[in-house]
Amino acid sequence: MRAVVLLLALGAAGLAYLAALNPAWALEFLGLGLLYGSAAVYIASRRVYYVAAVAPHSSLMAIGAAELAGLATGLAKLAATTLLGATPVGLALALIAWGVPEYFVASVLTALTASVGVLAIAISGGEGHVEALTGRALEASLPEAALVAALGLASAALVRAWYWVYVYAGVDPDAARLSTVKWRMLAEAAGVAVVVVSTAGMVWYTGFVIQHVLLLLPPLVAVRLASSAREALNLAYSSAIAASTLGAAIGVSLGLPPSGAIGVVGAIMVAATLRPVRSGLERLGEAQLH
Amino acid sequence: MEASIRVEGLRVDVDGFSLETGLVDARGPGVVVVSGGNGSGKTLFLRALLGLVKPSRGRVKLCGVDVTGSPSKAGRCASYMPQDAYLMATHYPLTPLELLEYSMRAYGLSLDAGLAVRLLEELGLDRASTRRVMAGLAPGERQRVFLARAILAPTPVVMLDEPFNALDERGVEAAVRVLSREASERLVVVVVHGLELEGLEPSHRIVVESGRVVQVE
Repeated sequence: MRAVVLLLALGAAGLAYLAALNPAWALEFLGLGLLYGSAAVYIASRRVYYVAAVAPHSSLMAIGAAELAGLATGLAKLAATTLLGATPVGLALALIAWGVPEYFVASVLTALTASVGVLAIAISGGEGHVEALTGRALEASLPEAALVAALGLASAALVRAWYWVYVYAGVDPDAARLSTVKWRMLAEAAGVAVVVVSTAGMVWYTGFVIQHVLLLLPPLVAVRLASSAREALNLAYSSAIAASTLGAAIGVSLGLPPSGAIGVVGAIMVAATLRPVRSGLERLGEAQLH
Repeated sequence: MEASIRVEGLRVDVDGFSLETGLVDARGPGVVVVSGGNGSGKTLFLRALLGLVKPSRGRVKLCGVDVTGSPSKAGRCASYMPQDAYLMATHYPLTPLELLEYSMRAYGLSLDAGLAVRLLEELGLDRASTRRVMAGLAPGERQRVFLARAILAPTPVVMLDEPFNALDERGVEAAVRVLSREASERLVVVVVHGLELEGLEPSHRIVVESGRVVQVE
């Protein structure tokens, strides 16, 4: 509980600083924290870490393909990257459901999409490399920032509502298949949709570097510190928001790309959990010795 | 819903291993003991009953309903405790009571926390441990939680794959006591290595040997 309060205080400080400079930034990075927090919660609780490997590289491929196809307008770019980025993620899910091992699917699709993305960006000769790396989050208008915030809120509402489905299926996928709740597949589809929107849908704004950070680090903080699934949910969201807003504030103030600063802040948060206490991972180690 | 299992001429092929059954017919309440050596196909048989693997031929009826290859249909009749339950729930922070709450939600129900705690205590898990993160529990304690999950499920049939794994002597005694009580109202299927199980009188016996499933009683 103390960790959640501390993280929210850090997030509020970052948010206040951004709002003073540009309200659009505050809205946007709060929305990104919620959006990536939601995707990260789905990935960690549902135990589909291979999605965290495939999705950002799919968005890199998508940005390259969109550049190559000459899709210059905002809406066409957004639709194209979302659809193109969703395809490898959908393919990964289908292959795993078909029985191909997760590590195999993640390795092959990550390598393939990253390579194709880099080649497409180079051949197109456009500015895809800038967007792919750091994004253009600081250029967002107020309506765009409001859209990101709305997406973040909607994602958080979806993931919070179906969190128990993800945790339960992550613990015991067979038991989840035996579930008599009819809309379980809808909950799964919503989780995947949140991941696709937060990666391929957002890649123009955020770049794909930030995606690696915010899809993986918040759950690490949560797993290290939480003593229950409920606490893990609150910790994941609060650390995602704190990393996003505080990192962006530091990036802006130092004239550095927010994506890089957000990554450093996220990594420091995880490092701060590496203190000599009985963390979740240490408890796991002890459990194996019982 | 009638607590019953009926299997007709099932064949399942998985990774070069084949499992074949003749007619298996068991009606509850009571205890069905499924026994056999390592690698004989006991777990595959149980998974086929639950629709978790699709057979290449044959039919499975649980509680009078054809559930062949359909886990969501099978789930209405039977709960399940997997063989490696004691290794589960260590990757993410989760308490025993949260696991049981989510399990009941999977049936569209809410958990009676008092009932759950009493059952866990009866199985040998102390009250404080019901609210601790499961990764910090001993494997035998996690086994008790998953046993409780299968028992609390509102199904006429309870299927348990080697439920006594990782349990100490007191744990086995407590589990047998609870399962004997459940078997007076439900059909409890227990997969074990040997045919005899002290304190648990089988009403049906099924033997699995080298992929052949035979009902002997």
